Amino acid sequence: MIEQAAIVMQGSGQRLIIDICMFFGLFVIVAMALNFQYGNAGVPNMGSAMSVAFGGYLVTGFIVRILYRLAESAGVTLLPYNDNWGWLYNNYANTVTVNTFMVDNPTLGLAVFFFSLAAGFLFGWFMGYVVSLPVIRLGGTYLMITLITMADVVQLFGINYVPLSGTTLGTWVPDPFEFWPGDRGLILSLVTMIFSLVCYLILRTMLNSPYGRLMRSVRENEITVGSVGKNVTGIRRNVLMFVSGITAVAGVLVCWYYAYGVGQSYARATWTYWPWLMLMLGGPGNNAGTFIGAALVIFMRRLIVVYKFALDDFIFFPMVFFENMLLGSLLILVMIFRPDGLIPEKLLRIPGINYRRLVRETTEVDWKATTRSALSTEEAS
Amino acid sequence: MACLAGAMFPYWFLSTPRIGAMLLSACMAGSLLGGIESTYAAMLGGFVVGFAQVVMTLWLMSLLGEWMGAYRLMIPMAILIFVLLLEPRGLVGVIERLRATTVGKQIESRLKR
Repeated sequence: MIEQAAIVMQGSGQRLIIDICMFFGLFVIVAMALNFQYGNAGVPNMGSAMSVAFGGYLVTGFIVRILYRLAESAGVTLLPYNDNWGWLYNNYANTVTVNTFMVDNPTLGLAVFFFSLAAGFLFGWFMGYVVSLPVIRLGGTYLMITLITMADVVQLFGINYVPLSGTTLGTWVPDPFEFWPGDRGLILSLVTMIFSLVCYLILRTMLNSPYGRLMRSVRENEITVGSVGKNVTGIRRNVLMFVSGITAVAGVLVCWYYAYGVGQSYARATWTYWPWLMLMLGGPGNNAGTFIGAALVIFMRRLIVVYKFALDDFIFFPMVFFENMLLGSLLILVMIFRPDGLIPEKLLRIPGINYRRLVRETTEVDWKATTRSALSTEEAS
Repeated sequence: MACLAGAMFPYWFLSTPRIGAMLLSACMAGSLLGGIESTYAAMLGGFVVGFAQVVMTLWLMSLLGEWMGAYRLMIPMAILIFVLLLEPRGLVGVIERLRATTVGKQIESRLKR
């Protein structure tokens, strides 16, 4: 039954479509998280690559070990993996062995997969708190600089620390959907799309809640919000932690999709600059714009990646540079011609309040009478 | 000037097209330590950060082991965080604070004489 369904679904869906759906889901999660943070709370997070890396490191450094231990406890013999040498060089063989074991254990695979999503969120949330301790009081540009630097350092740990993600050789990740005879990417892209939809609904509800309005007021004027007794630092910290958790789940998902994790894959360009381009292209402050921005950029990127050899004949420079040139030129064009993005920010939807009417309402002031009374007060004094 | 610095880089360090990204944190730490408002202070800050990165990496390598050399980028990050938390305006801010004190004013008047 499962086999027949897999063959039918694989036949109808091309690999490119699965790839586009997967990356669309992943980048929509990251770009929506950025939108929630920058577009609504005014916290410019240039360290989203760091949160993605936290999710990836969780899978390669912790979840893979759990899978190995579970397989060993079920009687599967694995090559030594507790020392650095064993972790690096026996990793592939162990992954193949665990995959064979996972074919007959679909429940275990699914349980570990969903556990990794929950653990990824909690780990990202906690690390968001740790990161926020030294930086959350910093203003716009300084916060951006510090978070960029922190993301670099987190990537550095992945590149150099063997138990985390196997340094430059990387770590192979067993397939939790090994029981599925078709393409693993199909299930993962579906899960990612569903998760991005759930994220959209959660973020939308949060933005339309009183806390969302508080966030927007922090974005507009921190001093005013602080003067009425609100904890501005606490609000910024909460936002950073929540967003870090969501972004870490994207890191977990990308690790399962590649079935591999390596420090270099959490690059600043991929997980910070591209999501920022999606955000700026769609328009900060609204999730619909982020969806459109992410869809356009992902579609272009995946087409370039998949058809690079075909496109190479039409361009006089190597195709590998075109992706980064596209990033730079699109950012410049958006900032010059559409600084508000394709869909500018709209008014909030607040249940029970016609906010549009309130904003359009004009106040009539009798300036003559006001001036007359002011003059008479001056004369009397 | 930045181009000149980049041209000098491959003579001493193993360089790749991505080396600029790895230099970014040290550059930012240097300019912030000195103070963004002053060119001379930024030069001093850059020198201090570069010196600290090399010396502290060597010291930590002798203290903790050779593996510490790979994490030398953490030193500019630590400097960056400390500067931003203690005095976001860098050395320029420290000098202005000193000028505001009585002792600072006395020193300034003596120097003017």
